[in-house]
Formats: sequence, structure tokens, C-alpha cells
Amino acid sequence: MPSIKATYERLSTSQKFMRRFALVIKLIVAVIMVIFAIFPVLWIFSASLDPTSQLGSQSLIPRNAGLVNFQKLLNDPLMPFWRWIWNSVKISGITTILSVSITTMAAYAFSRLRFAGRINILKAIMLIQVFPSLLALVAIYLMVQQTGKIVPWLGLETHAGLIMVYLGGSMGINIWLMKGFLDTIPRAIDEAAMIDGATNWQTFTRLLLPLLRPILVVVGILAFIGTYGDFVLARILLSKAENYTLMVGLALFTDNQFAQNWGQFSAGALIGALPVVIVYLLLQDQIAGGLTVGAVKE
Amino acid sequence: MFRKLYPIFSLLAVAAMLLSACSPSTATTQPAATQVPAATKAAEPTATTAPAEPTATLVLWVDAQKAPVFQKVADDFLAKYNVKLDIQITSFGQIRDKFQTAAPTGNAADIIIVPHDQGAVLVANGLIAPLDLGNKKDSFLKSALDAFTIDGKLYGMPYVIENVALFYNKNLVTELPKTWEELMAMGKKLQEENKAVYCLGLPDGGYHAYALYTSFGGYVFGKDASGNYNPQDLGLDNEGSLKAVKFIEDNVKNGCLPSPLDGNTALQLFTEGKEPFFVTGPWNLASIKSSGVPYGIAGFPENGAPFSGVYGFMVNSKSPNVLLAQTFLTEFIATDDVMAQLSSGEMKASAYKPIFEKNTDADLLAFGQAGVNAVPMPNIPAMGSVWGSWGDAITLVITSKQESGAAMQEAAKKIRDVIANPLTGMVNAPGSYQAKAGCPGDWQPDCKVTEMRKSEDGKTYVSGPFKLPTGDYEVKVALDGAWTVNYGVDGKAGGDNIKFTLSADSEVSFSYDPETHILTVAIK
Amino acid sequence: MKIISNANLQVKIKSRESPLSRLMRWLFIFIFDLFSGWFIYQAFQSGYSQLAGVVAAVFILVNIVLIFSQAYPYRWMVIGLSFMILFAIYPMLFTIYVAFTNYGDGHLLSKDQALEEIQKDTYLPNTGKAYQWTAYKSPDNVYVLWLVDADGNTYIAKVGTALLPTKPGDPGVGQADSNGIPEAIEGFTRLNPILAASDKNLPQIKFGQEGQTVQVRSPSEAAELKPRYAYDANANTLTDQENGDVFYDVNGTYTSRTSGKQIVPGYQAVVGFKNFVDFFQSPALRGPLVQILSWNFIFPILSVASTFSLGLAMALLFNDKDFPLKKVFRTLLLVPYTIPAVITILIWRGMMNPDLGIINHITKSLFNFSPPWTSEPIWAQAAILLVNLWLGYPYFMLITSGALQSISTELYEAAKIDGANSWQTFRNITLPLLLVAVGPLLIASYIYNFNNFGLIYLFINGGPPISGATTQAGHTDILISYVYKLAFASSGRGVQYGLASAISIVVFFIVAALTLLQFRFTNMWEEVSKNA
Repeated sequence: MPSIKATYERLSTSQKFMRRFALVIKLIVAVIMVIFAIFPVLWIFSASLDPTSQLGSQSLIPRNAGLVNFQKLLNDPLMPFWRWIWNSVKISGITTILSVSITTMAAYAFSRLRFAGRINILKAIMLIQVFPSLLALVAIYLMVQQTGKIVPWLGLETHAGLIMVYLGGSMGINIWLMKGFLDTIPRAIDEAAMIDGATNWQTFTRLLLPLLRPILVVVGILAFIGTYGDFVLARILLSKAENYTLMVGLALFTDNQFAQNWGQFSAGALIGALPVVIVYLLLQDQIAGGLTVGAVKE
Repeated sequence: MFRKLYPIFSLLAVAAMLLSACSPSTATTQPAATQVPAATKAAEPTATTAPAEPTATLVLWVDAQKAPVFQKVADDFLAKYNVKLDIQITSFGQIRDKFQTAAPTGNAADIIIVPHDQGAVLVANGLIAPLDLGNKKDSFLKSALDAFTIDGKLYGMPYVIENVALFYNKNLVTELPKTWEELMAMGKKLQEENKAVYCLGLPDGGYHAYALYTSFGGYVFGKDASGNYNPQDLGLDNEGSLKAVKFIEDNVKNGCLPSPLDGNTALQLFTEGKEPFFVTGPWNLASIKSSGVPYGIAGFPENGAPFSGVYGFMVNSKSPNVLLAQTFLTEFIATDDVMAQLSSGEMKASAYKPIFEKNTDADLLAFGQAGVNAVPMPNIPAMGSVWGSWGDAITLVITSKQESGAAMQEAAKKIRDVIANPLTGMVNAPGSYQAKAGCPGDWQPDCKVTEMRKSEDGKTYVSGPFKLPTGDYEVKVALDGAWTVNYGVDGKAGGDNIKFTLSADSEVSFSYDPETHILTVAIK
Repeated sequence: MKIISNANLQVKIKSRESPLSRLMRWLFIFIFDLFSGWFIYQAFQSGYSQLAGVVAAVFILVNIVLIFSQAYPYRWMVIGLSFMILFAIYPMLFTIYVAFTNYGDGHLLSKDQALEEIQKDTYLPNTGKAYQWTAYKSPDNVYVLWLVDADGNTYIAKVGTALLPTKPGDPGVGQADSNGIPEAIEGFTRLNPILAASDKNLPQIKFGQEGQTVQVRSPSEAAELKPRYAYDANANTLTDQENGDVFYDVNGTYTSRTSGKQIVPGYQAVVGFKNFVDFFQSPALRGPLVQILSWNFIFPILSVASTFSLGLAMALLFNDKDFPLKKVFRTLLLVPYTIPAVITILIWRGMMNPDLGIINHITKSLFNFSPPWTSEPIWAQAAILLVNLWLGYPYFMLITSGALQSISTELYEAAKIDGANSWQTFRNITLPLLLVAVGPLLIASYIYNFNNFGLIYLFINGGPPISGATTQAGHTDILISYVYKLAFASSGRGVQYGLASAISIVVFFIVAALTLLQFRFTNMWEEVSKNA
């Protein structure tokens, strides 16, 4: 693989100019996009500083701006905010690891093995997403409640029970994504390994997994954000403030018909976004980390 | 790659531990000794010292805003009676829905706190235990008790009442208007002097503006003779309501009212001193106070009556602690001390007379004044169909898409369509023959197979012939697909079943005379 | 351009299981069967037959897959399939079941629960009496009650013996306190009401003589009450003991055929196709359905097209290795994805407020024009699409940046040697290869947006309203939000889960048919099976 430097040297001066010019254009586009992306967030930040707890005031810096909302949020003995973040990170972290493992293994089978029902299961996975699950909540509640009567640590009010429910979504659309990615990795690679006497499992873990790293990270981030942002399932299965996840806790501030407490909600949402941003910052190198299939000689 | 996450996890864990160490402990302090309540003190053995486990636990679901007040009540309760009150914070909009899901499985709170208009459906679902306040009953405002009374039975213990009032900016308004016209004129003048953006902050045009409707003689639902709301009597397109919406329409056109009318904007303009009047409730009091605007609270012009909402406690009928929960409410909550705490903690007028009368807080008094003639929000299910269509009509009017009269009449028609029984007008002869005639079962007044149709001369209703096997049968006449209106032998309302016997397989037809209500059975 | 991954060699499934892994497998089967067998047994014992059934299905699946070597490929996904059965397929089956019942407000309880509730209703017979009570307890947990009737007569009530008229100060009875209640009764300690009520058994104790018993009914009342309704299990009827009115079961509601009165609560009953019939006769179908459906197709197509294009554009932009500060840029661009949509949608609504919104402020000062985002249909639709673009592009940015890595650099090298310009490279290499990986996700995103109730509902609740429509409907309403308005929010009859489930099933068939059609249209299945 030729290095960038080498490519550069081969370019003529006019090409160099063109490249620079293109780069400037790209930079301008990127800056405009960043403004588009960040602008509404600035208003959330503004709301978090507004002591009157309103949303979308006229000026970016609200009158009497201060950290009151943050102080209230972090010091309310009835609202264990850090506990909520910890619960969310714990639940999302465990769910992510487990569901990525499940997804990847299933995707391997769909991509590399041939068996009866393969296409139909793939179709079914897609069609299940179509079903408007208006009543899924009631069904899931009853199931977890009854399970808890038999195995208490999987019942209502338990994080283990909630994680189980989240894992129900691991055979989801991400299998398609993962399978699509696997399909682009040449078969010849694993066949060579198989001929050398490796088992499916060895091929999968030693050969394919390293190659899958970018998409593993993407699917992982998607799973993490999806779980982290859920409050529909969590709020029906959890009732005690110390068990709440962040989103369930934050929803408490906004649900009052007229008196929504946007200030504390915004403050919480901003702090709550940090774990996701940190996870992304740590992992983003892996997504575009320069690994390419082409690096493996056929 | 996940190894990289471990530092974050542990960092957050450490942070969480540090912070929970700093923040005030959530654990309630145990009382120093079992304080035996006065009445039993004499007889109680004196040796009780160490307060062991609480003797019982009651679970209470309450929304975040109210939780701090209730946590304090819970601490006092534990100290006094050694019974734990477990406050579980649940979001406001969720309490009812979650209770509906959890209560039948026995996992819901023993007591919930809900506004009265949400309670009716829980009662209809059999999830709420009726309450007996005993001699405490007279200590509550009658209107508040009425709000929690369904079919003559009390299902909740009210504690605070809220309604909207007219806020005004003392810098801009020196004298209160007597009429709505006057109010708008004052606003218009300030607007022209560039002192105000709008004349009046009037959010949503429905709930908040209700006082305007009542001033002009409008209403949502009328009441029947026994004082219950009558869903068949919709007043949204009566003369008064039309006048009120026309008033809104005119004032939007001349720039006095904003389009759209939204609460957030109105609050903001008011707190910035750019709005002389603002219709809102106690929930915005804190924001307005903290903004420093010199505000006053007044009643509505022309005796306008706003909606009122009553908050109260309801007891889970599926709870094993029903008696304890009820005793907790009547013996502990319904006392001057606790009721005073609840009222001042929520900045809402108490529903408990001794506190309501003793109230000295100027703001609360003003809200009480504004709400003297307030109308409790109708707690009938039909109300659910009103908000959406009503709101849409107002939107169409203020965006000048539709003229006010037409918009309200259309909205009223939509609401009536939804409320109306789709089977109105159906005449049926339900009986023990129906299953054999092709219905899903016997005695079904809404089965289309046996529906009776007008005969050719239009004088009677007929059905059949149905082929029926030998046997004894009974039949009645029922109208509108339900048993509410039914006729039996001799056309008597609610009378005995009409009997007929078939000695052989026969064809049977029915005819019904709507004048005499008599059903004739013809056997062939 | 040939797709490299399309190798034709078939990998044979070799049973090269080592003795150790065989041992592990059987050990796992043993432990799993032990645990799940116990669980299924317990579930049956507790009467949770549905739960037991679902777990039994998982049990069978796991055993088949692990025991038979022919099912080897399924071993790779057996955990996922198990969870899918439990938490995705079972809820679907539940929904289908509910569609045939009257489950909903008024019919929330099971028949047994409803009957239990109905039988709690009591009445005071003509001969009966109500008393105020005070409880006393002996050290060995025996209760007596001090009763005061309406005329002020006082009694001591013990279990098994008739009420004993007693006055405070009588032998063995303490002096009266200020309320006239004795401070103590010999051998018993007076309890305060809360302490008395905290014993769950107290209301069950029948004081007094057989046939004339008194029970604690409420904090202030103990009475000789009788149950109002008698249940006849054979006839499935309830009879009012006070006036003899008979109540028959009509679709889960006990109804009198004489007075027409209905007993609250009703119970969950199977009602056949009633919900489907109700839906097809409901006013919903008389509304502006064509308009709503056409927007329902346009909205997801435009949403997917816009979010995908922007996401891909960003991914390509930062795929460039020497883009300055690209880590920072990429992270900032991902921010919309990290904040709950609930708040950002509302923030957008605030920013687009025609009076005070910052966006309208800017457009006013730049172009002297304030877009009527909430009142004009076309602007409202544009606003929804814009907000959805903001919410959705980071998803595709993430996915496409991952998927771009799968494209071999050698292909680009080859293209360059062939003299292809960057557009040709993109058009002929990048896009087709990318679509293999993300094609299904585009469809998934389409489906998601087809039912994107949250956005439509939170932004302007389907508004602006369609004037002159016969039902409550708005210009940005999609099928699901429109149906929600009619079936729940404004039904006027409370929540009807049965009807809602029936509607879900109808909507499911529409979208499913559409999706399959789309698959056929785009040759997706061929794409999937090509790899065979």
C-alpha cells in the first residue's frame, strides 16, 4: 500500500494546488456542518444555565445565567443523578458486549455457512422490525414480572432482567449490517485457513474477528447509544429511584403537564451525553483505523 | 477494544462513590425511640427502646415535583408510628399508565397521587378501593370531594386544588380591567406605546382560556339532573363558545394575541416584562417569582370561571395494605399539620378546610379568589375526545385558515361523531335463540344477525325468519345495541322475558311495535 | 467491476469436534436442561402457562440445535434466537391474541380478578349495623374490638361470642378518654389506629357470633356487612342480594337484562373479530386517508434519502487521511446522536417558533421573511424533514464510515490506473459496494420512519390541522399518529388495547407487504443469496 507521502510526491504542482483548493472547500463544508450539528445543542446548553427553567429563550445567554440547575441536579437527595449515570453505563456496557457477540456470531453463520431457513430467518428479522409493538410493553412487563416470581434476580427492579429484555433486540437489523460487511471479506481467506486444518471457530476468532474490528465498533456504538437512550422499557420495569437509568431519571423533569423543569433536564442531558462522547472518542480510531481487507494477501 | 472502556467504568464508579459520599444521605434517620402515640402511651409496656424494623411499609408513587414534600411527610410518619412510607418517584404522565399495568399483577404502589380527571378510568378498571373518610369527611371542601366521587362513591382523598388565574405586571397595569374588551384595550395601548409585545399571554386557547368561554356563556359539557357531566350535551358550539372564539380570532387579527398561542413564549415574555397579562397556574409561580417581575394575581373579568384540577390520594384495591393505607390517609395525612405542609410545599390551595381557611399566603389567596367559581375538569372519558379537536379548531382560527364559527362547529361535529354510540338506532331482539340463528352467542343486544329492520309500511320493526330447532326459548327487545333500554312481556320496560316453545323445528320471525313496545313472535 | 467477495467455494461443515468440546457441549446441555426444566415446572406450578410455553419453545430449540450435528449452523445463533423468541416474537403473539379480546379500559382485569373485585362490594342489610371501632390486642396476639354504634351504645366484640354491651369503667374495662373510648381492657393493650391497621389480618377477623359477625371495613367503620353480589359459576351470572337483579355476562361485562345496569369492572374476554370490524367501521376510515397515506410514503423516502446522503457525504469527507482536525470534526458531528431526541425535537420546535425562534430571527434579518413553520402545511413538512435530517444523519455517518473500510484499497488503485476520476470511482466502486453492506439498513430506516410516531407527535402533533376534514387530522400526520389520535387520545372511551392491537396488525400487513415488494424490486434477496 503506497503511503500518502509517496502519493504526494508523485503529484505535480498544479495537482498540489488543486488538492489544497479542494481541502479548503472541504473545510468550509465541514465547518458549516458542524454549525448545523452543534447549534441546537448550544440552546440546550443555554437552557441548562437559565434559572427560570425555560426552553429556548430568546438570547443564547439567558438572564441571570448560572449553574443553579447543575447544583440542584447534583445535590438532590431524592434524585441520585450519578447513580443513574452509573446504572446506565453499566447496563448499556453489558448489553453492548453481549449483544455484539450474539450479533457477530449469528452474522458469521449467515455469511459463511449454508443451511436451510437461512434466507427466511434473515427475512423474518427484517419483518419483525416492521411490527408496531404497541403492546409489547404489556407483554414484556408480564413476562419479567412472572419470571421474577421464580428467579428473583431476573425480575422487576433488576438490571439483569432489563438487560435480558434488551438482548431480545440483538438479533436485529445489525445482523444485516454485519453480514453485509462479512460478505465483502473474501472467502478465500477462511478457506485457506480451513484447508490448513482450522475449525470454523478458530477461523472466526483468529482470522475474521480482527478484520471485523471497524464494524464491530460501529455496531457496538449503535448498541450502546440505543440502550443508553432507551427509557420506554426501563421506566416500566424499574420503579425505585436508585435503580433508574439516566433517561428514566431525566424524564421525571419533563413529564409534568405544565411545569416542565427544562433547566435541570438540559443540564442532565448534557452531562449524560458525556459517556457516549467519551466512548466514541476512545473508539473512533478503530472505525477508520486504516485497517483494510486489501492488506491481507490472497 | 472493550478493555479500553474499563478505565471509564472505574472512573465513573469512583466518581459516583465519591459523590454519594458527599451528598446528603438519602437514608431516613431512624427515630431515637418508639414514640408511642399519646392515646396508647399509658397502656404500652415501658420497656420498648430499640426501634427495630418498621412494623409495615406503604409504597407511594408520586411525581418528581411533589416528592421532596412527601419525603418529609414520610420521615415524620416513620418517626411517629414506625411505619415506613416508601416514596417512589414516578413521572407524572406515567403514574396512571404504569399503575394500570402493574396493579393487576400486585406490583403497584399501595397509594398513588393523581389529578382527579385521571382517576375515573382507574376506578372503571376496578383498581381503586373506595374510601371512607368517616367524620373527617366534613373537613374537606365539598367541590374537592365531588371531584373524586364516582357513581356516588368516594374514591380518593383530595389535598390540593389548582386553577389558573390572571397574572398581571404591576409596572404596566395600575388598574384591573372589568371586562375582556377592557383588558385587550389596555394591552393594545401598551403595545402601541411599545411597552408590550402582546396584550395577553393566553396559552393554547382551550384549557387556559376556559374562563373566557364561561364569561361569554360557553361550556364543554353540561350536567344532568343528578349533577353528573352529560356527554350528550356538548357546549363547544353554543352561542357563548362561538363568541369567545370570535373574540380570540379578532384579537389575533389585530395583533393583540400571538399566533400560535404557546405557553412557553407567553411565560417568557411575561418574565421579561413585555406582557401585561398572563393566564397561568401555580406551576409557573416559581419561575415568575425568580424572574423578579413585579406581578399580581387576579381573578378573571366578567366572572370567568376557569377549570380546576384537584389532586388527591387513591388507594390500590389490589394491595394487601388497603386498611393501613386508608388509615394512614385519615389518621395521618388528614391532619392540620400535614395538610399545611402539603399545601405550602406545592404552593397550591388546600382542599382541607381548616388549612384552606387559615391560609395567609397572598398568592394562594389570590388563586383561591380566581377559582371561587372554578369548574372541576370533567372526569368522564368523553373528555378525551375534546382536547384534540378543540385545539385543532383554535389553531385553524388563529392561523386564519378557517373562520371561527365554522371551525368550532366542525370541531363539535367531530367530537359528537366520536362520542356517539355507533349502534344508536339499532333495534334488536336478543334472546336464547341467537346462537342458533348465527350470532356468536345468546342474549347479545349488539348482534347484527338478528337486528330488526323497519317493515315496508314503516310502522313496525321485523327480523327473521330464523330456522330454529325444537325447544324452549326466551327473548326481549333491546335498543341501541345495549341493555340500557329494553322491553319484555307486554312491552314493559325492563320487564320479564318473553317465552315461546317450538314443538318441532320451525321458522320464527319477530316483529316489534315501537309505539306499544310489544314484541310478537310468529312461528311457522 | 467484479465484486471480490463473491467467492464460489463452499465451506464444508466439518465435524471435527474434539472430545473435550464434545464433553463441554453435553455438560452445557445438561446444565441448561436442568435449569430451564426446573423453571418451566415452576412457571406451570405458579399458573404462568404462557411464560412456561415460551420458555419450553426455547428449551426445545436449544436442545435440537445442540444435540443434532445437522443443526450445526444454528449453534452460532442459538442464543440470539432464544432471546428473539422471548422478547420479540412472544410480544407479537401476545399482540395478536389481544386483538381478539376486549382488553383495555374497563376490561383490564382477568375474570377471576374482576369477580374478586366485584365480590368485595358490600351492602348493609336491613338488620345490619355499623359501628366505630377501636382495637385492643393481648400479648398473645388476640384482638378485641370496642364498638360504638350510631346511637352511642358501646360493646366489646370478641371472636366467637356475641357482642357484649359494656361501658367504660365496667369491671375489667379502663376509664374513658376524652373521646369516650376506654384507655385499656384487662389483658389487652389499646392500639392506635395505624398500628392496628398495619396488621393485614385484622380485616379478615370475624368478631361476634356466627351468623351475626362484625368485620373491620374501613378506618372508621366495622359492620355486619353482606356481600352484594352472589356469583353462580354454572350460569356465569351475578345476583344482587339486595334487590334480586340478575347480571349476565355480555362480552366481559356483567349486565342486567332488566335495568340495563353494568357492573364495574368488566373483565378481559375474547370477542372474536369485533375489534377488526370496529376499526373498519370507525370514523378513522372516513377521514382524509389518501392525503395521510401519501405523506406517509413521501416522508420516509425523503428522510432516508436525505439522512443517508448527508451521512455518506460526511463519512467520505473525513475518510480523507490528511483532513485536519478530523477527529474533532467527526466527534462534533456525532453530537446530535448523543442527546435524547425528546429534548432536541422540542429545542428545534422552540428555534422554529415564528415569533421568538432564533431561526426565524435570522431569516427575518437576512431575507426579511419568517417561514410559517407551524401554520403552512408545506413549511411544516419541510421542518419535520429538516429536524429528522439533523437527528438521523449521524447514524448513517457512523455506519458508512465503518462500511467504507471494507472496500479494498486495491480496487481504488486499479481504478486510478484505469484513469477513473473521483466521481467515476465513487459511482462505480464505492457506492455499489457500500450498498451491499448498508442496503438493508436503508430499508430498515425506511420502515422505522414509516412508523416514526415520536417525531411527528412531539414536533407539532401532526399539525397544522386539515381544515374541513371529517376527523381530527393534520397535514404532517402519518398513519400511526393519525390512528393514535383517533383510537387513544381522542377516542372518548379510554384506551382500547384490543382495538389498538387490531390496528397494529392491519398496519403491519400494509408495511410488510410494502417491504417485501421493495425487496423484490431492488433484488435484495438475490443480493443476499448470491453469496451461496
